[in-house]
Amino acid sequence: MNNKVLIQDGQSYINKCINKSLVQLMDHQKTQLLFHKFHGQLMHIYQTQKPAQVIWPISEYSQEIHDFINEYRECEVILLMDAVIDSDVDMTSFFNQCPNVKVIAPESRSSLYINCVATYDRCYDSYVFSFINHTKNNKTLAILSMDNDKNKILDPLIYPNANNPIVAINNPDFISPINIGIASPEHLSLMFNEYSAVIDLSGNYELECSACKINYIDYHADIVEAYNNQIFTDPIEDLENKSYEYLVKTQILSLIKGQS
Amino acid sequence: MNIGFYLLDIEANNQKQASILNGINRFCESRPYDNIVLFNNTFNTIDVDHKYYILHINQAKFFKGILFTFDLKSALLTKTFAGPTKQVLVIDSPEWQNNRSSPYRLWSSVYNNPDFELVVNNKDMNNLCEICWKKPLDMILELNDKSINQIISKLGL
Repeated sequence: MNNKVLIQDGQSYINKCINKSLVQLMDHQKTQLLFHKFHGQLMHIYQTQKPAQVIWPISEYSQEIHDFINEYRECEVILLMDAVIDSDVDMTSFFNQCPNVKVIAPESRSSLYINCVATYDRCYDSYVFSFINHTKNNKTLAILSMDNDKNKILDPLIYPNANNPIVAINNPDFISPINIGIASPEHLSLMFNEYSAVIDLSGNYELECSACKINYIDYHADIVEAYNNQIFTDPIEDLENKSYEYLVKTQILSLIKGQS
Repeated sequence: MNIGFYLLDIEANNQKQASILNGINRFCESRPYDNIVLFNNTFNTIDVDHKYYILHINQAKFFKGILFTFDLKSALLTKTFAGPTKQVLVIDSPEWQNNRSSPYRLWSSVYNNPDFELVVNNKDMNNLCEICWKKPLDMILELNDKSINQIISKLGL
């Protein structure tokens, strides 16, 4: 029985997290994994290796994978909708007409696809973001928004206007001596475990902060009051059900031939 | 005691470097029995009556003692040296502010490095280092025999 699966090593964060969980959780005795960047090689790999399934992110959709879907109807293609593409209407109807295409889509867009086999909502990478019992440094980490107008609400709290121990990261356009650069997810995780509180102006890290058990300042009413009085949001419930690992374990792994 | 100063490229008309060399000379006069070494790559200035030994920078990693650095480039080169018992980074400007797209780990690997002690030259830098990284060991107005001795005594080695 052919249990080879080809997985495109895509660049998007969602794709990276799902692929990482797949590689970790898959039983490699039962399914042979072909994992690489396959641009320009897909047809050749298919002809030489004959994988039964291909998992491909829509963010890396190209003429090559489009032709592949049309030409090799015997191969099941699972498309991960990790981005919204421009010509979505035409593409959606094309995917809906292809019997060999299955779709993993965000919950908000899953109704568009009649062949949607798995859905996901906001998730976090549990392999990277987890609680470490680390001594806290009594400082606050501000994760900047890409919109600098939004970042201006920090002004009354930060140096040189105030001497509060607040540092900012992840927006090089924010001109301030407390802007300490760009942090990768791995370093963010370390910082969440080291800092005492976070002001998440990007709004993208609530799950990750909860996973690292860092206080998440609720700044939506008045940021100065929230900071001074240490007003935090409640930790997120059912956090373990909101990781990419859980998504792969419960929804995606069973789609891989030989794994269920 | 072994005390080293790591100055990569000494230029002819660099006031900051001239002031550091002058400070090192005065420090040598105050501690004639200590081994005081300048680690250097190019020496393009005139210091006729220098009292310090000069070694090439590739010897610095074997140096067992206190090593002073004066800029981020030097600190990035010396941060992995196993030889020095302690390194002191003298900071006069927040370099991270001018390179905001650099990764946090680059700055953290130096300014949060437990092998380094930070020394600043004004109160603003003192506050800033304390907020962004760690509390500086000392604040000195200029590098001279008194300030270097004060730093060494605070190291408590």
